[in-house]
Amino acid sequence: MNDRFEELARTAGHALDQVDGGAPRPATVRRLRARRRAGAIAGMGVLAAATAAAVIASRNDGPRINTLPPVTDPITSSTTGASTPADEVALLVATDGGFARRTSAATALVVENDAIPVIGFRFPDGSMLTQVGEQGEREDLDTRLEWRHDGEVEHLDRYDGAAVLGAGLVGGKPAVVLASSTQIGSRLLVVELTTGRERDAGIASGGFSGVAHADVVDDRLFLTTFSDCCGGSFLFAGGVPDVDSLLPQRARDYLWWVAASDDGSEVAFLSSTGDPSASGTRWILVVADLETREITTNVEFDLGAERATWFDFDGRWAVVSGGGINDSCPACLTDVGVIIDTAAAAPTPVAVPLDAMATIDRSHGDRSGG
Amino acid sequence: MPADTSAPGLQSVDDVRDFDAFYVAEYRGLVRLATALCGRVDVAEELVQDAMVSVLTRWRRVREYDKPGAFARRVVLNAAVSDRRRRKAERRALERLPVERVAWAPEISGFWNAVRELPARQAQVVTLYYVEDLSVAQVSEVLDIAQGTVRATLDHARRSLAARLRLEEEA
Repeated sequence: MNDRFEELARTAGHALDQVDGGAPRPATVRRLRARRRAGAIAGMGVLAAATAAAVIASRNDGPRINTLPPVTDPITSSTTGASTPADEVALLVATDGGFARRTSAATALVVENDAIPVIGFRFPDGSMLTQVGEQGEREDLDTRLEWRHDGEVEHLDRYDGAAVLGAGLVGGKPAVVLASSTQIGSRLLVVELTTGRERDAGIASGGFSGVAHADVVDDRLFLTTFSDCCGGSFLFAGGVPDVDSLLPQRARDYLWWVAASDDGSEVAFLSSTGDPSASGTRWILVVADLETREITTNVEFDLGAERATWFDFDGRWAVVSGGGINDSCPACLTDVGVIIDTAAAAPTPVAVPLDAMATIDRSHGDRSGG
Repeated sequence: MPADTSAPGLQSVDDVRDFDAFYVAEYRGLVRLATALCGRVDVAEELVQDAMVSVLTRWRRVREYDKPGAFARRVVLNAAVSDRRRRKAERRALERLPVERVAWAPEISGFWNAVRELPARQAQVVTLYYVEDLSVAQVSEVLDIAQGTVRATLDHARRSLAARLRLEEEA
């Protein structure tokens, strides 16, 4: 090979010597385990972003939210220094032994599982959908879905490795929103768990790409995407597969997480001006009434050094899970979450040490497990 | 603080110590490899952390390998290639944001940009050969492919890069 090329290649190779990646992060087992939990979901977002692109026909009818709130002037602005758990919301969290129901007072084990728990959803009928991981031959954590109902455990093998973007109700029955580039071929599907019925959410190649998060309530699908062509974010909602644009114009902020209230009357989403997948991002929670189009809640918060790993909203409580590694405190494992009571006169973010990705337990006090 | 041995792959305090030593010894080299392939130090650090999690979960098996570092390199290289594919769409949206990039001279940046445009296997071979200064035999070991394949891949990569960088040998 010619000398000029060899010289450049060697120089380029040695130029990497200046990259030391900083000091090696302490490799404590706890921190790596926490990272695995947080990374699993972050990876799902990436998977969905890379594989799903939306062909969405915007219509002029139907409810819309036509403006975004100003980023610099939120109604309430608060840091997350407090650590007072909310008393009235029960969460479903991943634990070392499986999944647990957690309140401010206690954590009761709901489901034991030998596999690595990732995230769980419990529905009003007491049934439960969990995503768990296993060590596999592949480098990535292999995930699978388990549907627990009527004392039985059903393994949804068809969706091994799929990304869970949200869970909710269709016709009052439990459903999950999935994206996958392998098992179901780069599609966004709403799967009704009781019947196994799949509905294509109308996602294919097109002008919009990167479905970040989704929710489904009463046959309405809510999802956030970002544009492949012009770098904006979009929020959509509507029937499956005809999804309407709630924010038809390109948003200047990133709209990353979305969830609808349990009665379908409100939509809540998190926006950020910075990289939504990064740690330390400043978030704004917006809740809007879908009937009146009014923004009813607008709260700014952050998760300290953590990055957001999940978001849930039931119409009153907004729960944001954070996870990751706190570089300022190598010995610490600080998985911080934020709970906001949107029904309060002045909704205030309250920091809680969630230590896992949390969803709101909708089984209304049933602790027996599905 | 007592060592936490509760992670899969770790069953004794010795396991924890061995893994920590492995981590510290390999970290910087792995970040350099990943940086060459993905072009961003922050993303490279993420990839290496993820790779280390993968190693951790099967540490008792990996530690028995002749060269656990080679296994980690393979994981990082595969992850970097996968990351390049899966993050493509996301990056387009996010790249408008200011991020810390490596400040290289233009010809160095041009070289690695061209490497990242190569087919995945060629990019991996070039990175190991020129960043790690590995021999053909060592590259073969890390990637678990024949030495002849390494030579052929390297030759193709060199020719392709030389053409892209307009460094073809004068006729």
